Amino acid sequence: MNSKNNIGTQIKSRLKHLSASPDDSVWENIEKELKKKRRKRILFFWWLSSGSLLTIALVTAIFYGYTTSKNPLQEKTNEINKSTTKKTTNENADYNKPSEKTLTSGISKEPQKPSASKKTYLLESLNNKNNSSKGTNNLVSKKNTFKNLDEINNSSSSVDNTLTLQDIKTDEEEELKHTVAEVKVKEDIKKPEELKEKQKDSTKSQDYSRWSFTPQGLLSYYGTFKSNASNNTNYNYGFLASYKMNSQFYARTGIRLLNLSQDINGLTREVTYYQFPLEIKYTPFQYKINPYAIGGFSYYSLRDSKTNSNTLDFQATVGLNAGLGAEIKLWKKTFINFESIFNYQLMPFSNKNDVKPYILNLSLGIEYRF
Amino acid sequence: MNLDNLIKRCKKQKLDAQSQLYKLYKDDLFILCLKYCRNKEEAQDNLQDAFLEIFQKIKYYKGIGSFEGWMKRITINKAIDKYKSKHEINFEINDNILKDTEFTIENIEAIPLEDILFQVQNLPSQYRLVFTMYELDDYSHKEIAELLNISESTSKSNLHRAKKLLQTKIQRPIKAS
Repeated sequence: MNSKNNIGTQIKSRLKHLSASPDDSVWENIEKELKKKRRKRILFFWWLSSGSLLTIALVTAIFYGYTTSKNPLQEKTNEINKSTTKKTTNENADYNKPSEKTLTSGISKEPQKPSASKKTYLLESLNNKNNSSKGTNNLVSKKNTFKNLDEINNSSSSVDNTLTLQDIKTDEEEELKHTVAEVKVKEDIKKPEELKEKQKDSTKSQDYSRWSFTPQGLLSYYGTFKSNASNNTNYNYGFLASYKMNSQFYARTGIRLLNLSQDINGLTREVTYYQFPLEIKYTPFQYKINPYAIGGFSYYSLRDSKTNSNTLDFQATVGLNAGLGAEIKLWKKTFINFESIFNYQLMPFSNKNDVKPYILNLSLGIEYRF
Repeated sequence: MNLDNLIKRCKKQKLDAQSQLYKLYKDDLFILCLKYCRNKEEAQDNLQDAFLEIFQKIKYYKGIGSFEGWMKRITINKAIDKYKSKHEINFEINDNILKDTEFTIENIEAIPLEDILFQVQNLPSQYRLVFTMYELDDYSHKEIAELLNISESTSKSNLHRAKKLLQTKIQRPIKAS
């Protein structure tokens, strides 16, 4: 540090005795800014989480949504058909395995006829199913099958160890006949039985209720983007009705009575709206505590308004809704719902102003499905 | 609540702690602002901006060095930034005309504090900043040059001119009376 001239030292020593305080308005402004920043941070995280969930929901909807929107009965039928075909293929694969007989006769690549024990097993299984089946048509076709199988059995027992190429070909044809007949019988027996059982099971595990109604209690925060609002939390209530479009998407509407108030820089505003939301609810998962996303818009019908500002008059308006929620099953068809919905009001005032109000609703509802 | 706890709570953005910290340091930092700014209003604006930055950046304060010093640096930098943004500093002058002269004020004790402060505040912004930083807050010419983006010789000449102006302006009313 360089040496200092006298005037600097003189002024420094004099100004040490200076005492002064800033006006109270300085802290008030600082406090306002801090609250504004905090609110922005909360909104940012809220939008971030909503946006993330909505993106996940959309991606899930694209990949899985369309497949689950098919008729469940049709799906079950398809499943059964698939499983039957699979079993048949497996059994055919077993028949194609080379046996010792084939190897000794030197024709290793030729398919083999079923062994006597395999035929016995098939007969047994068919007999079992025959006992459980009651349809007369099935019985006729099964009798024919038994006939064919007996023929095959007899022919196979007479073959013994001396097989010729002609014999094998004949056996192949018979085997093919046998397989086709067997599959047909199996399908005839299985289809109605399994379908009934699977349908029974599905009705047990899945809820086919299409409609629901939900009375709600709400904690409403009436905020603004452009300035600091205080005294802006109110309790409200509403009612929602929803329709299940498919396993993941619900359309819902209803009515909420919103008594809202806010103080902005000494100006007090009180307004009552009837809110008519029209929303889509998306439930990508089926958990016990089941999260979901909500998006849509609302029409706000003005019921009453009070303001000590001559420059602002409330009016009916529309708004955009986005939210997150979770539902928990209480009883068979009764659910409890928690939701946080952000409503941004478009043009809530009849004249131009910088106040951009929004409503943040936290709701608790009991949903009954039928 | 001790200072460490207060800082910890401020790092968590607790409003009550921020309020306490403000009450604790508002006067000292306001006096600092008064010396760097042109008037009370500008000083209050600077104080407000400085505290907002302090609350924002307090999470980066690692406890190394004096906390008060850290806050003072933020406050001074705020003032510098303000005048920089208004293009009231960074002008270079010819150093050759200046001589290393000593300036003194006779009977300075008789001069009211407000008058001395008023004369400091009324210096041209670049002179005021250089004078206050060098004489009142012990910055070196090198540091001043870096902060104000001027050369060291400009800093020296600014200081010389500031002292000359102050001597003239503070001494004149005394002589007149």
